[in-house]
Amino acid sequence: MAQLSEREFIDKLRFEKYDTEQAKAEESLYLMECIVGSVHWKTGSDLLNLLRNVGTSVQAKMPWETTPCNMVQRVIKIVIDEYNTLRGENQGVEYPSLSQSMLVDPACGDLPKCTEVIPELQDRVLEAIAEQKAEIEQSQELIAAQGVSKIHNDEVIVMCAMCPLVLAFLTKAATQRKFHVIVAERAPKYDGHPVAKALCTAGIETTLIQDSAVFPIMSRVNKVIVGTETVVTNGGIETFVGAASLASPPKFYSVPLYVCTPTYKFSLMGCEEISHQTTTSIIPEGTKFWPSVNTALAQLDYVPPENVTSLITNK
Amino acid sequence: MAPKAEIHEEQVLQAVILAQCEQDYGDPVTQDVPKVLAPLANTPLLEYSLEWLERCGVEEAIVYCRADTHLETIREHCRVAFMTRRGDTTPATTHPGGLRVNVVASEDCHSLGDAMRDLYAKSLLKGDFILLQGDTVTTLDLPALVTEHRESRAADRNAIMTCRKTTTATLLVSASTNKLLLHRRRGGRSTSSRLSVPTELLQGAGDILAYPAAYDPSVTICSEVVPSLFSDNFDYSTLDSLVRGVIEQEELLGYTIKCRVLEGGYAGRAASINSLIGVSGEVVGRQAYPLVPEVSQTSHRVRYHHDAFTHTYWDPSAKFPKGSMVTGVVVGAGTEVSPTAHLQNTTLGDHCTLGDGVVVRESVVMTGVCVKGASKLEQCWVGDNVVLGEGVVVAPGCVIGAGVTLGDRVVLAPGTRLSARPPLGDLGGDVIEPDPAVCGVGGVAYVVDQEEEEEEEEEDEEEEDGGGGGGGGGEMDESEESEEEIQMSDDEYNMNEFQHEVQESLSTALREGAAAENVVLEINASRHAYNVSMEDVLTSVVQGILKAGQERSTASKGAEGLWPAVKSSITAFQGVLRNYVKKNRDQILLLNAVESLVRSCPPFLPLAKGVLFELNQTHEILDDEVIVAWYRGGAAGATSPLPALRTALAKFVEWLEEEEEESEEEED
Repeated sequence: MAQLSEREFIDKLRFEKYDTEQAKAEESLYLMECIVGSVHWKTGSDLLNLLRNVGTSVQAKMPWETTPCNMVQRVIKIVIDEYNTLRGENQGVEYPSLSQSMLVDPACGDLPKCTEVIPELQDRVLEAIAEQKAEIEQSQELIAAQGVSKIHNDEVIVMCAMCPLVLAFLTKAATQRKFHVIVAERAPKYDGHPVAKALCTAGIETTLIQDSAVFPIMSRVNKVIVGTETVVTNGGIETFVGAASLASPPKFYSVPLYVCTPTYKFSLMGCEEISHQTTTSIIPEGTKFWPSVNTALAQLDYVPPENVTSLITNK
Repeated sequence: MAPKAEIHEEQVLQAVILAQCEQDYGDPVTQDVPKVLAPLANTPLLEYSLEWLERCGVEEAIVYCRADTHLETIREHCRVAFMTRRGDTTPATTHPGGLRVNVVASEDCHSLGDAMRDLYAKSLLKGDFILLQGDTVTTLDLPALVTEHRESRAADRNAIMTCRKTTTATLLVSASTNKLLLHRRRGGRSTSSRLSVPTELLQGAGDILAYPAAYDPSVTICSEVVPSLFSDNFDYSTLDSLVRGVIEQEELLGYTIKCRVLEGGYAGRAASINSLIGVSGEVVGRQAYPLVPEVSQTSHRVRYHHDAFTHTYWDPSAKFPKGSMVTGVVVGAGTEVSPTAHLQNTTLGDHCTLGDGVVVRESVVMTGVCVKGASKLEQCWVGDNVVLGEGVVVAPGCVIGAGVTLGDRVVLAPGTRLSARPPLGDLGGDVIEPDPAVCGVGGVAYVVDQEEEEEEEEEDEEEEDGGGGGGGGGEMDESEESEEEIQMSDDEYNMNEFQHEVQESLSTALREGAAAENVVLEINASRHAYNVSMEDVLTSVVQGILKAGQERSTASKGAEGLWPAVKSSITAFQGVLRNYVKKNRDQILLLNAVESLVRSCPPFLPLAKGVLFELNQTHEILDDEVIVAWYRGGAAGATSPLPALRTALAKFVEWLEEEEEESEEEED
């Protein structure tokens, strides 16, 4: 592949040329590989600055694209760790939380000074990035493989929204278990319809229900499985709109809610930074609403950590 | 053997953005900022088009403008915006997949037609291209349209493919091939609610879809044939005339226009102030997603905070009440709005100050404006650095140019246009004082007068240009039964002009003794220019000839009598008449023309007989039978011969009849 520049990457993101989050994560890692592999930097600090620039520009232009930001933060952490290891410090330090052990947010606070020129730094960092890449590529299969252990026979499961990860999860499990899936159709995009079709072709018994019927159904359900866009610092998730209303009934009926998420979706975003991403693109042209009526079509929703039972990841 | 190298033509997708071809907004607005750079929700209009084109994968955009004072601004803007977008300082980088912006200007470009001709002459267009107006905001799926266009071109030779959505033109489209069969633009002048459709149209086509009201967002996909068509026909000035021309001459040229009515996507054209406000409201309401106000289109950074539920966008440094009194508003940087102000569906630029109790509804306010307390603004456009005093009431449709100051308690009538620059006096040296009646004590403002045409233009929001008279004036049906002819004032205007021209050509020819072919050529040229039918040509020619004779006699101060002058005129122009009078029907027309001339110019009455005699006997342009039939049977049209004319011609006709009898007797 040709050298990817930061500008091209941002353009691609802007023009929505990536289909899945996984593709975004892979491309951003590739971008950083190019940066690390290039000869523009000498000391660790230079490299950190370069990476930080990438992070801030993506953040400024597209704050809703969390996956690339996450990857940048990961790589920064990798660089810092490698640097420290090569200098013989920080062996075996325990980190208080998962997010701290994986990510470093360049925006808050100074990055540690890494002013020594260590020739092996580049190679070590490239190796670590390659490991990350492999991890991303395998994330989908690893998560899907856990399906068999999590789902038992004759269970009723609720899922929602077109999430390829969850679909893979369920279809893998269906090869060995027999269970029943209920899908909410999610107006006005009606995402649920292709999901139901996909599940049917995989041989799973499927029921399609309307969004408002989720609450009454919940008493008969064994578990709820959803995918997500991002996992925020307090453990909550930012995901498709409607998830919040999908997540309260399980709490009420004590039904576990599982979130299938690969590790590249973990981020340092705080829950108060979540915006709903509204558009009005679904409203048909020419309907005379304006100006007395505002129409808002939200895209994203926040589910607080109390409603999430556990995260199924690839680690 | 070496493999043959295949030469692939790189298909570079180009787009032409027409900026500045017609001045629509009127002086106060376009004095300082070119129309395409006027901000819509605080982003220049041109940016929306460029951004969307880049997203659609267009590789080269040609911004076409008139070479006047705003050219440099536009050039500078394109260069700067382009560089910020690219993030590097070398404009010549051929970045794969980027958008190259090329600004082309010309001295006398007054319409789309001129622009096309110029581009054709400069050979800048290499293939199919997208044609946009500079003030359009659109999110239509252009790549899909282009692919469809290319496919249909491969199948059949097409000229243009357009896409239209809903309001001002009436279209008839063939359903199976998407071919455009009829297009009629409905301007404010059209009074009839009927549409006459020639039956030949209905014969060939299978299913026809009729769209009584299609809105033209002015986005068209054109093939490379289009600019050449424009340069062949110098009178095509707008896209409408081209469309009509292509449809009419379909058999000759073999070009067709395909038309698609699109379901999704948004397109809006900010052609006049009112539509600017309308489109602004829609963009603020996020109908043009992904072109949203909070992301700056030039630098792509998220520049405004955004409250989805009241559709409000504000810069972090702006101070304004974020309550329910404020909806659908875009607030620029550094603006201060007092807590008691009411804002609705407006756009405020940077560094504005709005005092207490100000009510602003559906307006566009630019930078640095200061509005003092208790003022009311409704549906107006307020330029840069305007200061409005206390209690000013601005009625809908007002345009306040940059730098204007209005004193306290000034009430503006609807549709007033004010400018800070005094109107240019004829003598130059006069300094006109601002009129306190208009702008209050201590104010500085001058009312900008508009011409009639511009006002009518403002009413029909979607009309493309003031010359809509030429494009929109109804077609002259060539059919013989023209009972349904809709008399529009443009027709009469055209006729008058045509007659004047014919008159002039004939008078000059008579004086200089020009040859008949040249005169015929001149007359034909005028005919094409004014799109006049053959009958009218004949009528005008006949009347012109007679009048030319009259002119000659008056010119020679009566030394030549009227009759000899007219006679010599007829003699001189017999070739011309022969050219136009071929069938009996033409002769009847000629006679009618003489009659109507007599009716309108009494001096010709005694000459009528002589004229007919000449035409009949000496030059044998008119046949005896025709004259007799005409005289006896009354004219083919609506009127009957004047009593006076009848008597004058009675003898002549009798003599003719006798002659006939004599010749018949002789033949026996």
